[in-house]
Amino acid sequence: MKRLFFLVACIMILGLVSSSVWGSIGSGDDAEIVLNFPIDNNIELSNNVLFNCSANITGGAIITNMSLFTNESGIWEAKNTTILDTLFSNAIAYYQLDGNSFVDTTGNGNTLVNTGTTNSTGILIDGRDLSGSGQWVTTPDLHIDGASERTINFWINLDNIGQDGDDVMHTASDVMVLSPYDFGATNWRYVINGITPISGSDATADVGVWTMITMNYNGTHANLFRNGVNMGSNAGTPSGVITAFRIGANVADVTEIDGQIDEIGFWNSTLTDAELLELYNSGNSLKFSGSNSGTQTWTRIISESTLWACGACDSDGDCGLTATNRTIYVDTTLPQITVQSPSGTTDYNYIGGNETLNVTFDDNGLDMCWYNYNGTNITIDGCLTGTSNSTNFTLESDNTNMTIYSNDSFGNENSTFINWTYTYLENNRTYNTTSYETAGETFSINVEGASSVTLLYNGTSYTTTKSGNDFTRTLQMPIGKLGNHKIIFSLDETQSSYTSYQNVLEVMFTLCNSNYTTKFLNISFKDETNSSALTASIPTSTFNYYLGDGTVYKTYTYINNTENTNYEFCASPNRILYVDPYIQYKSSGYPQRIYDQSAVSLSNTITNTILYLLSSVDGIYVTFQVINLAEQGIGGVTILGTRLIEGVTTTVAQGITGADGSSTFWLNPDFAHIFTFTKTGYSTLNKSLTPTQSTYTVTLGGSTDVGVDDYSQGISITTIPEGTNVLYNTSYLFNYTISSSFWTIDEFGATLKYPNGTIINSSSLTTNGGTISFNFMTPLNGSVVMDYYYIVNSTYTNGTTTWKVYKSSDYSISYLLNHITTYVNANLFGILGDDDGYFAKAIISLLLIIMFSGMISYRYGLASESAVSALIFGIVFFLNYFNFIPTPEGVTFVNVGDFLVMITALLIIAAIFREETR
Amino acid sequence: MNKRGSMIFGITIGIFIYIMGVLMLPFIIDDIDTARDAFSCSDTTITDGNKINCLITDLTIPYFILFFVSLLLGFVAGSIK
Repeated sequence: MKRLFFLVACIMILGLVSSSVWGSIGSGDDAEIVLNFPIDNNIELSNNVLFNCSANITGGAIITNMSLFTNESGIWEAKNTTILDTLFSNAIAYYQLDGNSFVDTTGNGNTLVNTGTTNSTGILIDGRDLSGSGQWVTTPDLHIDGASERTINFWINLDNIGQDGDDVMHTASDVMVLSPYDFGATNWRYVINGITPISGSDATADVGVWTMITMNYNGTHANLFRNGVNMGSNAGTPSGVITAFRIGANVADVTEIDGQIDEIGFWNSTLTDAELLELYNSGNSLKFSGSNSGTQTWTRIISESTLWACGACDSDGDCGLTATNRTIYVDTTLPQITVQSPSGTTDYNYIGGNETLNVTFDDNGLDMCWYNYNGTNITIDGCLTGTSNSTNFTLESDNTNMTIYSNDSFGNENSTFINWTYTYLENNRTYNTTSYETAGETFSINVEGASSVTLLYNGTSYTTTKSGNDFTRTLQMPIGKLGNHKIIFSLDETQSSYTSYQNVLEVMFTLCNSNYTTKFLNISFKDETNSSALTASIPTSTFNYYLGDGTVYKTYTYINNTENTNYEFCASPNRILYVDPYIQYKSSGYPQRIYDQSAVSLSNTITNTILYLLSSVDGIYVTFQVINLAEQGIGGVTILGTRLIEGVTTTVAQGITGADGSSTFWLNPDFAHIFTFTKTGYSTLNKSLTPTQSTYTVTLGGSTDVGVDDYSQGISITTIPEGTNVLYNTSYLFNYTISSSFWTIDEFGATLKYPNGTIINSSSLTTNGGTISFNFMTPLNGSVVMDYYYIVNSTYTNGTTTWKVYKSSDYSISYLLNHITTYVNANLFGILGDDDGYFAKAIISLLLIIMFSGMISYRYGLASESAVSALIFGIVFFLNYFNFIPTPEGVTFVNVGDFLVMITALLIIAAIFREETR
Repeated sequence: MNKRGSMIFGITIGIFIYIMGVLMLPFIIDDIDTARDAFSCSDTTITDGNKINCLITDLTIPYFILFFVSLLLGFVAGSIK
């Protein structure tokens, strides 16, 4: 049994030794330092590692600091150190005097010998009461030599000042003395041998108040503090040796003070002002806080696997390390990223639409997840709480890829790049979100991947026109279908696009009222004869109005049999509105007329229309009988009669012939009118006449009618380039110029096109003449055609000019001519005129010689060489005399004119000689 | 050979000569290009003499064609007489 107990004891001792090795404790202390966590061989998921150690010191000393050691760089170093205490741990002796105890709390074992004092209430818990007669405490073990630094601090509460010589502290040989009595004054007095005594003239020694007194020598000065505040300082070097402190009495003559003392501390160093204030603790005294055990935690960023251990130091100045160490490993595994979507090819999406990112992240220490789309990093919320994350992002143009990132707590970052495609990708769609009845609305979509697109507008299918990736359809908004209409595009009849909406509102044209106040049209009336204003009624009127191309229109009928000066019509919405009016109007004493104008565009800039009436006494009824060449009446012929009123061509007659081909108008027989007779299938007939007869017969389709106007009279048309040929692959300016000296041209235009009808360019003007130009690079072959027209008095006249495109060979006569032009433009022979006219003179001289000699020879039959030579000599002489024969530039040795005169003279001589010798 | 046969023969010979002449054009074209390069005809700053030479060179092909056309017409006309 004894053996068993012995064995258990041995095991316990061995266990204690294995966990409490204290490296270099030399003052009898024993210590135990325990590595708490992380556990050995732990794998850290975060590089922010939490380390924890505990230390326990036995033998009296307290812990001053604890440190974390690692060998991250291969060398054991203290990486993190926690200072546990510097104030009390540096004390060489400290007496709390609580509970009638005189123990040195620092654990240094400096005893305090009590002589007669009794336990009393102290500044902290208990203190010692000194009655002033044979009572004090002594520190026999403390030893301070010569000029060494020191600090002595204690609390005292005087019952009375006493008398001179009653010292609070007095060492042997007066080496260090503290007295509350300064030669008659109740001020603290601090004496060190070798230094002038410090008399605290401002440091009144108070009675009945706990006061903290501090005396020190900092190596150069002695200082006296009261309640942490410096009361005086003197320089010097202490002398003498202190072998013991007696507090409460003079060590020599036993003169004692009366009061209580508490919290006595000795330091062999100089406490700082801050430390003194810490001790003072706002008058409450700081409780001794040193401990012989503690647990410390450090957080340290670890970048690689490492060994670690802990160390500690105690108040004796001893330090030690744990004998064992532990290993931590870091996480080197990258987070795993798995993308479920988007990937591969998806059926459909549109730019600006939502796309869903589904991604799974896998890591034990996941820290952050995000994706980069179009250069912007976006955090994936919630990736830390769930392994699978779904987030939406807005699809951007030309951007179907992204990079997804994830990192863990240790800083391991991983990324994956994904891209995806769509079978159908809608880049954009254009339409008006608000429309109106009768408006023409164009719906277009730009979609990649579709070969055909059908527009589903409010449930009805419409085919579209394809141009590249653009699909377009124009619809005329029906009437009566107001509100939101769905817009969906069906892609290849297999995929539907997203749904958008168009709100269709009502279009309205009506007589102005409180609901419709935006005026578009104002109709007033005048007497055709004198232009005086009239009131008129409207027995009936019909207005067909629309916003689009007119295939869908609304009709407004208005009747007012009361005569009014004018009628104002308003419309909504406030945009261009096309109105086709038909108005029957009359006034008292004025027969009814009809105003049947073709559609006019109206806007909120009010259009004022004046309708003319002719009084019963000023007009006559004129009937037009329209017949064909077979003298049969033609029904349905539109008759338009106009005349100049106040300088403006004004419509005064409008009507359509009946089945018998006749139509009757109320006209002024005093003025010339122009009538236009129009019917599809017949040539339009313009007739100018003064309607003095009651009946006129007009033949359509014939050419015998003398009333037809010639609308080509005075019209001048020019097309450029001139001629009918243009060079291939050359930029030409194709012009169509028209002017008129007789008619007023209402409109003219031209279209440049290829022979197959493909239009190159087209333009028109509504001015009275002018030029339309097209700049065009001719094709390699074929032709270029310009169709042009002009309109005078609603009569359309057209024409065509065709240019043949030719290609010049580098060896053709055309090339030669071009070359000549080029050289001439480069001033060949000074032909451009900077040669004082010599070139021109030379040409003239040549012509004169050839023409004159030729004509004389031909006319008079001169066949003799001598005679011809003489003739040439005379001409040359004459030309030279008038300086017509130039001397080329650079020829300086001879005058060419004189030279030629001599040459021709020699030729005469030679010719005469030859004839004479023949 | 009667008159008709002579006419057909003359036309045939004329066409043959004309075709042979046209077939020679590519060879002449190379020489024309060489001459143009030598005279720097595309440069408008050359001397007036060179410009005249260039123009005469440009006339070569038209003259050549005119020559063979004249021959053709000459043979045709001669055969008709």
